[in-house]
Amino acid sequence: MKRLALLVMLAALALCAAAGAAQTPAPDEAQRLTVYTSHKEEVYRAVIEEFERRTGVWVRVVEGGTAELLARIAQESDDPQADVMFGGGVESLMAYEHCFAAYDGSGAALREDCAFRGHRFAAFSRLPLVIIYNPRLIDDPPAGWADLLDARWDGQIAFADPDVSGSSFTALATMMQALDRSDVLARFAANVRGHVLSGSGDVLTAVANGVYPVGVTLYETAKKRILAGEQIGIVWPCEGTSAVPDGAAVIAQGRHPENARLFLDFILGADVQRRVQTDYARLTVRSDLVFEGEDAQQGPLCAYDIPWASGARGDILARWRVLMGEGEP
Amino acid sequence: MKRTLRSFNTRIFVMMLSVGIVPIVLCLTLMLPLLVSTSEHRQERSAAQQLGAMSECLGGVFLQADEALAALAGDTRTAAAMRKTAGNPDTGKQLYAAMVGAASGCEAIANLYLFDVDGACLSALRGVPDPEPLATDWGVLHMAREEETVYCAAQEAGQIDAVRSLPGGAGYVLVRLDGEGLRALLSGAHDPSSGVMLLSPQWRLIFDTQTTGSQERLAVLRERLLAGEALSDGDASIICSAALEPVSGFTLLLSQPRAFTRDMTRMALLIGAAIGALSLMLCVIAARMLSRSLSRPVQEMTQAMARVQRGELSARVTPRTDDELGLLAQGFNRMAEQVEENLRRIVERQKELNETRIRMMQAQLNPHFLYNTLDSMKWMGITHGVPQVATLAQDLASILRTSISGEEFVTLGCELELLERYIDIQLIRFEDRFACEIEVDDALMNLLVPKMVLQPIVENAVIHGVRDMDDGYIKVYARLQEDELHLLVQDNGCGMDSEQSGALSFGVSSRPGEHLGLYNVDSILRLHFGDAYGLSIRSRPGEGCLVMVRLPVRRADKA
Repeated sequence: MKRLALLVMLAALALCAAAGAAQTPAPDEAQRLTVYTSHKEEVYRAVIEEFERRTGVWVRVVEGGTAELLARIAQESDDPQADVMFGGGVESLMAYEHCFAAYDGSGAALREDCAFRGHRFAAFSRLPLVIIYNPRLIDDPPAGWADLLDARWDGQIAFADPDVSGSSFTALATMMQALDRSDVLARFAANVRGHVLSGSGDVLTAVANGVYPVGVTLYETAKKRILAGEQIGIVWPCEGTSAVPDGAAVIAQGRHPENARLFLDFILGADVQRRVQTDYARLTVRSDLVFEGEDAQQGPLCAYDIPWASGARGDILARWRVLMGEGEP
Repeated sequence: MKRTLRSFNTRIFVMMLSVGIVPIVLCLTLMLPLLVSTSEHRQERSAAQQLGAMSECLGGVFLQADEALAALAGDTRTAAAMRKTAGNPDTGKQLYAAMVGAASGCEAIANLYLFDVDGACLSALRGVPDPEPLATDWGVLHMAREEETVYCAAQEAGQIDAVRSLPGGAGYVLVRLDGEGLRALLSGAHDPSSGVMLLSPQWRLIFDTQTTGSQERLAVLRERLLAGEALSDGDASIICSAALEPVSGFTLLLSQPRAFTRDMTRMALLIGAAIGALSLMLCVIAARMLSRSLSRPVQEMTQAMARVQRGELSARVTPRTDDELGLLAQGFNRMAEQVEENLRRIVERQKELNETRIRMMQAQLNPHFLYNTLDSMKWMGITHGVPQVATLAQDLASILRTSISGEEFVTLGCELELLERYIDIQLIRFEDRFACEIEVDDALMNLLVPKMVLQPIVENAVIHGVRDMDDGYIKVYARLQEDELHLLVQDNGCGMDSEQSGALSFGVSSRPGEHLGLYNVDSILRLHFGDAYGLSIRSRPGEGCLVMVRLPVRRADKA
């Protein structure tokens, strides 16, 4: 009898406990969005929080590398777990276009070279490459790509391994397209002299610390270091530099396609695009925004053939390895 | 024996174990969850109370801010003054006065700002205006509406902005609660041991009373919320509860340290297990001791029994206790004593029998020598014309032959024939001074009697009874009485005194040297047939003597 009473008491307590734990209700499906992003938190955080503020949508962010996330999207194509892929170079997104739903970004006034009509993704921002230098070591930095091939910079150039760093490969492809010369790769390789650095971050560190006087890296990262107080000078190459776009895409069969489109509309909107250029040291993909002073584009752009770069990538890297004395001749 | 020990041990051990361990297990399995659930329930209630109090506090402040903003925005002079404000000290004072008037009550923890259409700060209630303009296409000012106060995380972490647009797009009015103000506001309403987070409607961090690791903790909780899981993970040492603040739409998130953490539960279980192990050990020891105290006497008794079985009748058990086992040991000892006594008596009887046999064997001289001698005597008697010698020798030889023959039993006929030969001899010796008469029914002649039972009796009658008389008379007769055969020898001799006859009538218990023959007969009869049979003598001095042989009726199988 006593045991029965005890059991009843326990059951009652359990019920009370269950009733007391009034859970904060999770948001409705209609108020949700899952974003896979290869952007760094300092890029995506403000964008996503502003999106949440404006729309009331709860955004779940999953961070990762571009290749990793795209592979995951392809793997999950039967039952997609995400709605938006935010980030990744357009050439990477092109390879996974079958995983994306069509998105018509024509509502935004996009630049012609960033419209990607007929593709299932949208460009988000453009990342210009620049030459950096240590102003405490040199007063007359190279003015452009051609100068970097000069014997003066023999062994003086900080350059990341293009096998590892996407921006390093882009730099090689940019030089080859910007300069109408056949010996670009060989000359540049001779100046780098086999001293490639293991990552693009090392280029900035090496130049800021004076280990190398000159380097090649993205404008975005160089600007960030300058804002952090490091003494780095930036040169926009006089021949014009590339600004390869990264993009975003709505994932096909996602659970929240409406919110996904809202998100893409938002990041292509003028409010975000303005910040792409003013806050992130990138270039906007819109044609209707005007920037002044430091926020404006600082140098010319050259034509950059993305399909050609993608196609020749293996070939260029193989040649580079040979020039570095690593691969088979 | 080992098995006895083990089975005792096992049974006692199992019983003690169930008595010792079951309460501990019950205690752990029932009490611990009960305690944990009670404590959690209490914490949840306390969390609800704290959240309610904080929500009320915050709501009050937000409403005050709302009132201040509404008052300031509703004042048409504010907008008009703002349009004209650029560098005009008078309008600046005017604005300040309007702000002081509007900020009734909330100025203690909040500051009031005025922004123009481009987001530049024109005036602040306290301190100097923020020189950094606010973006109007982003964040707080972008959210601002005319008829409604919007609450939003400020650009700077840990602050809250409440904002309103001025009518006609004249600018913005903004109330800013800073981190210190929020901390002071909330500190009275929550338990100092718990942490409070203030979150945007989409659970982005606005403010946290704890200064480190806020984003990481929030990221985990947000993931749980989105996955539809409970905020307080069972494993965590923190209980999280959330409540919506209705005015702003913000969420208050309270983290309390769990009163019963996993570690404490584990510790309680560990202590329980240790106590269980201790009680297990005690059970083992107690079971061993108890079973030993039970099994040792049993074992000793079993060993003593085995010794008795092997023939060691002296085996005894020392009773250790006064209980049932002690009684059992005493009983065993008594039984062993009786068995030993019985055996001793049997051995004694056997010894007596052997002695009798030895005596009989000693009496057996080399028969051939005796026969031959007697035969020689017989023929010498005949040749020398002394027939008495011949008769004596022949009778003696006949008696000898019978007496030393291997058979123990002979027919009564044979026995009587032997007796007649003996009497013949004695008659010659005593020159017919006594007469002997044998009177036995022919029907009894075939009954079996131990050989040489009558001869010693008759000899006794002759030697002790009638030897000194001239008219001695001995009568031998027999009779059947029920299953017994009675052989009687009566004489008219001098008789015996009662002492002698009385002693004799008790058979084996005494051994008078005078009547060895009678004693032997009595012994033989008792050995053969038991103490119920034997000799009895009735006699008085001077009146002769009657000796009766009692023995069971046994017939010769072959007639």
